[in-house]
Amino acid sequence: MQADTDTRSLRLLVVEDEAIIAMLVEDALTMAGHLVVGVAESASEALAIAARETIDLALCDVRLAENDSGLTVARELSARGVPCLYVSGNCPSAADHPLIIGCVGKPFATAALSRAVEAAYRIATGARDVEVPKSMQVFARE
Amino acid sequence: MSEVERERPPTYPVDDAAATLDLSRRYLALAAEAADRLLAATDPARMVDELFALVRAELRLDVFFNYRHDGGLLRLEAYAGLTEQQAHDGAELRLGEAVCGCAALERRRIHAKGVQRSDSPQLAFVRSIGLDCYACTPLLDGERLLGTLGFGRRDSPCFTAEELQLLHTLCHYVALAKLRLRHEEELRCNIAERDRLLAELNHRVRNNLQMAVGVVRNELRGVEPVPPALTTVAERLELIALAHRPLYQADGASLAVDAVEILHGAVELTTGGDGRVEAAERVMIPIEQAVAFSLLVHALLDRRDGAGARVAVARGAATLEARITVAAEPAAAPPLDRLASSLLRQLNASLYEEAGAIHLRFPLAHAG
Repeated sequence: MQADTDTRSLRLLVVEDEAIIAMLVEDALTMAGHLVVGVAESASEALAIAARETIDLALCDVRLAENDSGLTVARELSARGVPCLYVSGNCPSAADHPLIIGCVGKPFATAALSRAVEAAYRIATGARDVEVPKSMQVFARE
Repeated sequence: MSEVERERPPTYPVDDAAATLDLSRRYLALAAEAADRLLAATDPARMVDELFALVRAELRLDVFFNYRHDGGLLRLEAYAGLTEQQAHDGAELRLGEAVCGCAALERRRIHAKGVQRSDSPQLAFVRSIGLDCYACTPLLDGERLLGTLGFGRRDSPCFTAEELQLLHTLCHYVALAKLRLRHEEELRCNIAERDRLLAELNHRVRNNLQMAVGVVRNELRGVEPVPPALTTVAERLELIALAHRPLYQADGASLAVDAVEILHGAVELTTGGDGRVEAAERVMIPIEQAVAFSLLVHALLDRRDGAGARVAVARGAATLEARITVAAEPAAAPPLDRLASSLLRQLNASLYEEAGAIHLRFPLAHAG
């Protein structure tokens, strides 16, 4: 399976502290034609990877290892211009930065994950009327 | 300690009945006002401050001490009329120490009179702060000691019986109010603890279902040809996980989930996002039927080219009906495997073909 025709292969960062779920996410996105440039299980790892890699979109769990918060990670990454999509069992209802696009609720359908990522990237790059999977919530944007 | 006496019943001078009646009315009004405030109080220390402010002028009070019983000690929780040093000196009492320690230990009210003339060591502290009379009441919940509340005066050697009666009544109200606040705090803590536990369970269940999917999908990684059985297992695990997802958002009153949301998962898996679920409104389904329903729809779509599949779902009075059509050809019910047959039986469902569509109908559990 290749990435959607109107979305190039994306460079993605996965911020997830459960190794098996991180693998599942990585495999689903790789199979869809994207490149996972790093998997981080804590805020410091995520920011370190973001400092050395070009990232098109970060997928952030909300609860991370070492009592870190994915909300903080998303806030830091978005402030550096990296669009973020939460993947969490406890989706926030809003975000305080326009580059934090939305949330995919856990458990998620792996087939829908790549479409959610591609939709989030299109929204982040200014596309309008983007169709999103049912399992994805898009935060209100001003 | 002759100055420290047990409380006696109030006595009224017979030659001043009108004044006594007036006093009683004023005291009654004070007690009513105090009860009113204590019923609405939300802070245990501040409520005693406010009570003292309410009664100090009428009763010519100079100080109060409110001790909280904590681990066998009395700790000063609120006070008035003391310097910081005096409050520091009396910040902690052992049971049996000083007037309030004795009142707490013996679970009895104590009225210390003529304090300045006394050399009793138990009165040393109240004497040192200039009091001449002091009344301390243990705050009790049955036999359980909550603390003590004491009031003192510098300019007279004793309280009258009426004054003592009012002070004891107020202390009784304070004990009840403190008990209420303590119960409310315990209740809040219990609810917060339960909420934390529930949130953790919720998180763990979601993650574990997702991890189960991950474990199976990991076995599929790089395997050629892909074992169809393992693919089916992964998909069914995903469906089970997805069918439970709406439950986490359900209100506690009903364990029902939205069948439309569940169907989106089944259609997503079999059509790769090319299918559609149609419903005029939310169709709630008991959680115990949700997984079976989801797996059954998946089984009905799984053995065909699911592209363009549509599942229309509607609720009757006590039944749920799903109408399945596919774009490629008129839909016909496929031969059912063992799992699908079992699910059909579990749901007590009927399955038939009509006008190029598959119809699935089953009674909703608990629908009456």
